[in-house]
Amino acid sequence: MAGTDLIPDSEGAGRFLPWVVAVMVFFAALASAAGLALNQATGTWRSDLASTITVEIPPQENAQARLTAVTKALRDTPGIARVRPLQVAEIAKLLQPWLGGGALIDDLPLPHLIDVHLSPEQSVDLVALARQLADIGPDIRIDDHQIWLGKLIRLSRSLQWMMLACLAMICFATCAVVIFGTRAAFTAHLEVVSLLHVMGAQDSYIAKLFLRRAMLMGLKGGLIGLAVTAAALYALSRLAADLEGPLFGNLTLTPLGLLSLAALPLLAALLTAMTAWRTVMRELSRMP
Amino acid sequence: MRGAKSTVIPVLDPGPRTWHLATVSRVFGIGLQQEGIDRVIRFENVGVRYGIGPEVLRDISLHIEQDSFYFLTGASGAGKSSLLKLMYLSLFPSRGYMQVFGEDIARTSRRDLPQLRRRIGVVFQDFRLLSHLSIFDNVALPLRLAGDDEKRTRNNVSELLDWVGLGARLHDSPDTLSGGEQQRVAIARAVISKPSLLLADEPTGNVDDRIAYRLVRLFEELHRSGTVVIVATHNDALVRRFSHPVLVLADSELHVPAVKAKDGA
Repeated sequence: MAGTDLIPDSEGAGRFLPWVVAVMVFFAALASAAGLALNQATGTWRSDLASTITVEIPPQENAQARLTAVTKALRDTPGIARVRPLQVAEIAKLLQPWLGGGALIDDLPLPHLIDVHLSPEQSVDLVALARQLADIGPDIRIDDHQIWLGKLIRLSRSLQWMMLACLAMICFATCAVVIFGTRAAFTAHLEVVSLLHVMGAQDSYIAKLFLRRAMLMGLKGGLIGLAVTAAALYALSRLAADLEGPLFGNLTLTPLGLLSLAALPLLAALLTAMTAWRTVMRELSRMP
Repeated sequence: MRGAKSTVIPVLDPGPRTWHLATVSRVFGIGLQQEGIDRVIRFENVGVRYGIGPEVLRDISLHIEQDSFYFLTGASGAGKSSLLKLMYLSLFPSRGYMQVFGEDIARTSRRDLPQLRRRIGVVFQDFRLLSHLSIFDNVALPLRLAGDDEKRTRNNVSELLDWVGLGARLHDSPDTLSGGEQQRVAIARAVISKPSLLLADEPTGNVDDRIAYRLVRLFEELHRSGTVVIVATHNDALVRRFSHPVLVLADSELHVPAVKAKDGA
């Protein structure tokens, strides 16, 4: 006779616990996936954008000469790994979403853009570089992406905190459901509990009976929730793949992130088990 | 161990089976004398009330020595069940001093109480058999709670159920048994762990006089093997057939027990 057999399968609230846990794990997995993906993306944005700057040379009559001078000045600057002036076609492609692909772009005076990659080993004094480029042309501008990147990262961090708050609320709600479910099961099986109590069962022995049941139900619900989450994330990843943008391309999960999601059913089982344990121990403490 | 004589008592159900003292001694071979405890229960001015209601038990002073066999009588609502609950530690007194197996209950930690409870066998009036378990598992429950070896548990339970004439029904549900059979399972469960104290709450309430008499003879047999027995009953006619002292509960108070002459068995 297994210990769990002492508490027969509940026909009441306990029967729905796996499904409630499944829903909770689904939401928790979505929130975790979003948080982890944002965290990964933020890191990528930071490393990508912090290591590059863009130099913009406004269109003028001697634009080509200025481009040559600026390119030379950049290549002579210590700490710059790579300098690549963008071709007109590339600039036109960047403007295409706003101006369309017609002949209009060809007629417009386009600035020259230089994509500059900074060396990770050596820092560049951007203020001195800006001064040096201003000697070539006072309207030449360096865009180091920091303001835009800062806003993006702040937004990302805020979203991650919101995800954490969601996770905390999901945990709280799960605990509340488990407490009510365990109390209902405890009341439904009060006759068995009282008998075990009179026969000399330790409180921990009785609590373990409920803990095992709750853990099994939590694990079952967790696995169901994870399976639904996996399907939902797969569908989302297919949709995101259709969006050809630099931002959405970074919204991926690392193997560690995927492992964290896979651990959610275990965490759900642990949470339900420990909550059931504490609930039963508290109920038993009211008995002599 | 007392009782070297080989008494034979008929089994509860009419039939060829018999209760052999040799079996009783083998299965329940432990007594309080071996443990050096003289007083099994000691109550001093114990009072019990539920919530803010009136006292259901008042000024109970009681000493139960080893080798005792008592009847506990009283009208319905006199507090027999409450007194038994106190004894099997399912209820604590609102006031007074209470000692069980030499342990001051007020000073005993919650962790140590189960050890005391395991030394008490209880036969409930409504049997309280778990219908989702087999007869075997019901009887084995106290041994499993105590963490006994499973092989020994199987042997002891099978032997005891054979002894009460239910050896062929080991794996049946208690729901399939008659009232008398359920009662035997309840008794088997109460005594399987060789309790030092056996409490029976109205065990004769649902049986005819003949079976009730045989039931008390069974308890006497268990008593002879060293178990202190207290039987709560309101069957005065039955009580008069035995010579054991009677505890009388009336108006929430316990009257002094008196040893009386046997009325005839």
